[in-house]
Amino acid sequence: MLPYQQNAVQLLPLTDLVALLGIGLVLCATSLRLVAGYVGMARWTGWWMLACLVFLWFPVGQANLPLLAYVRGITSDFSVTLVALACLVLSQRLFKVPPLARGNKNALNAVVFIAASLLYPTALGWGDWDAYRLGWGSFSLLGVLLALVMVFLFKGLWLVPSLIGLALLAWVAELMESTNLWDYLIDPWLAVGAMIQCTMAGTQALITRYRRSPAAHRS
Amino acid sequence: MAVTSLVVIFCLASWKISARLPASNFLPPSTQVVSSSSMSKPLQALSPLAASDLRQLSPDGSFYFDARFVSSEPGQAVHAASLAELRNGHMRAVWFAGSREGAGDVAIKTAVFNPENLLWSQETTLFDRERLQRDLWRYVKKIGNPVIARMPDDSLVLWMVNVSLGGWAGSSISWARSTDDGVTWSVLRRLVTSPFLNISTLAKGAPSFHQNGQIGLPVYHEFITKFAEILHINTQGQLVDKSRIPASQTSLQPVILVRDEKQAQIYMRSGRSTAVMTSETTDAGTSWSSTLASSWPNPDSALAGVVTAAGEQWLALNLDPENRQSLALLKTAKGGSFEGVTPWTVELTHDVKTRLSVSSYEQLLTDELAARGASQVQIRADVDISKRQLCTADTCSQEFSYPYLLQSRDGYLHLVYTWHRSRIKHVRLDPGQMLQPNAALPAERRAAFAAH
Repeated sequence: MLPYQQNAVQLLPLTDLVALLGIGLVLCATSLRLVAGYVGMARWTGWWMLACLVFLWFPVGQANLPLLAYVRGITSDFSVTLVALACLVLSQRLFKVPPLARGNKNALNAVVFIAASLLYPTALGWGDWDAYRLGWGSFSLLGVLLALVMVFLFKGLWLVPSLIGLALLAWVAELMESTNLWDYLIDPWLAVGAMIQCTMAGTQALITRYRRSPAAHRS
Repeated sequence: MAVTSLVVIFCLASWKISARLPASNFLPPSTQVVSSSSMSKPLQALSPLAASDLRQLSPDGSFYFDARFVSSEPGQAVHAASLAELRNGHMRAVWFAGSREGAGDVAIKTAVFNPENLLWSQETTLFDRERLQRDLWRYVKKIGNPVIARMPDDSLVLWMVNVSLGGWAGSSISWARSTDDGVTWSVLRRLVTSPFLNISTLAKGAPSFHQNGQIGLPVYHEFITKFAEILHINTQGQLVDKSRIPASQTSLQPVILVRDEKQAQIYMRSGRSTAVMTSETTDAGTSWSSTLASSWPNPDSALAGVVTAAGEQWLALNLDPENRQSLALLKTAKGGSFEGVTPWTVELTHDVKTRLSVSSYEQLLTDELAARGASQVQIRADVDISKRQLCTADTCSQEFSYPYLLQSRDGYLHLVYTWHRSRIKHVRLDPGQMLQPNAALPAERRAAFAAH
């Protein structure tokens, strides 16, 4: 094996650290939500969380990689938005931060659902136009984000503007491996979650409307 | 306060977008060949081959070349070689090798060619799976196609395909840089080319160069559907943009041939189609024409291409529409078209329409390996690994595939390709020689080629 080159151009390893921390936080938030769902929040839950986070950094295998690195091979890096949501879940569970208003969640799910419906089909080869290309620096994408921020601020829903702001800041600072703004805004895991939430909300709305309709009362 | 923060963040993002380099013209091919100021030799008139006894006639008797094997470790499944010229005029080849394609023991191998004695050095391992995992901080399942190229800043960059999950459709591209001609390499970094788990981007062709220092790396996508793209990479190795080749669905492994500052052609392997697919640009790659089928057949196999310092364009490809049992070169003058040109046949050992019996195949491989100095042990190992990949119980199919072309500064044209999946073979020829009438090619085969 040839030796490493000492004076070679190297990107900041900070991107790897940020990615692994993000995956760790999302895994912990998911497991905490599951655990809390089964046994409820207890005094030991915080310590269990900390142990979980340490365990994920434990080196294994021939390459001595932390467990998180194996997860990263499958999940790829999570978006800033998903990591921020994981932090929100953790702070709500561990530090009793008040939960978000339903309107914030619905707005986020709707925006992610629409963005994913545009981004993934075109990026995976549906037609010749690729929405992903806008993420390398396009004023049109920035304009759409600005419009979203203004609309949601006007409506008093602060979650979407905050997450867009965080993602943009991370993109400017190049905190992730990707140089594309889309990867800071959304990822497939967040998109799947939003699609499930939107489908459930839509189904619930339809059922409610049906139950309130005169036809339902007649039967 | 929160609104002020958002305003500042949007201002920063606007500044970042406005700081992007505008698109620029291609670096003309002649400039690329002589761009490196530290190259030891100027472009010189072709001298006779140093070892004329190594010179051999092509299978159709129409031109001369010299040939040798690049890879030296026997019994390895090898594939996807590429080449770069070093500052001292030597050539560095890279390829992947292991117990089988996609196995965990596959590594990127390298060897260096000395044009003075026409010998390749012993192969060494450049990158293996453990090194990739350590550098990239993630699990890597397998390694594939390496592409090596000299950058405008005189460094060498190596891009390679690697997979963490699934088959080749789950590929991503990683890269490393060397400032000492490939003796040592930087830590590997990953290119993020797709929003969907960053999967399914593969590289095979050589990059094109732009006047603003950026390069265009031709890549292709395989997940759900196939299509070809050009990645725009800046001098720091970061991806800054990409452009999709319109209507290239079913096409893959694009090869760029730059004609001048504005014009270039792309030639692609057919996926479901059976012809070489093409597209062109007249605005330095800002936009590409819709993909069309050329008149040259393609058995869903990789092509290679190069533009010489004189502006001649060359393609290397399999010319039979059904298999990879022959390999040929196509040449066209500056600004010309490949339509109707006469192929330069590099590999053609028997009728391409029939498969060989296992015994005939063993003999064929044994003869060439022995003629090129392999020991009996090496021959046995190479024949075994070829049979395992290319033979059924009764018959075998020959394979000459995944070519890569490069012109060195001494003017020679270098072709490396996969030889029966067990060796990387190197063919060197004088691109200025005249193609002789096909003396050794049977009349019916000439007629078949002439049909194109």
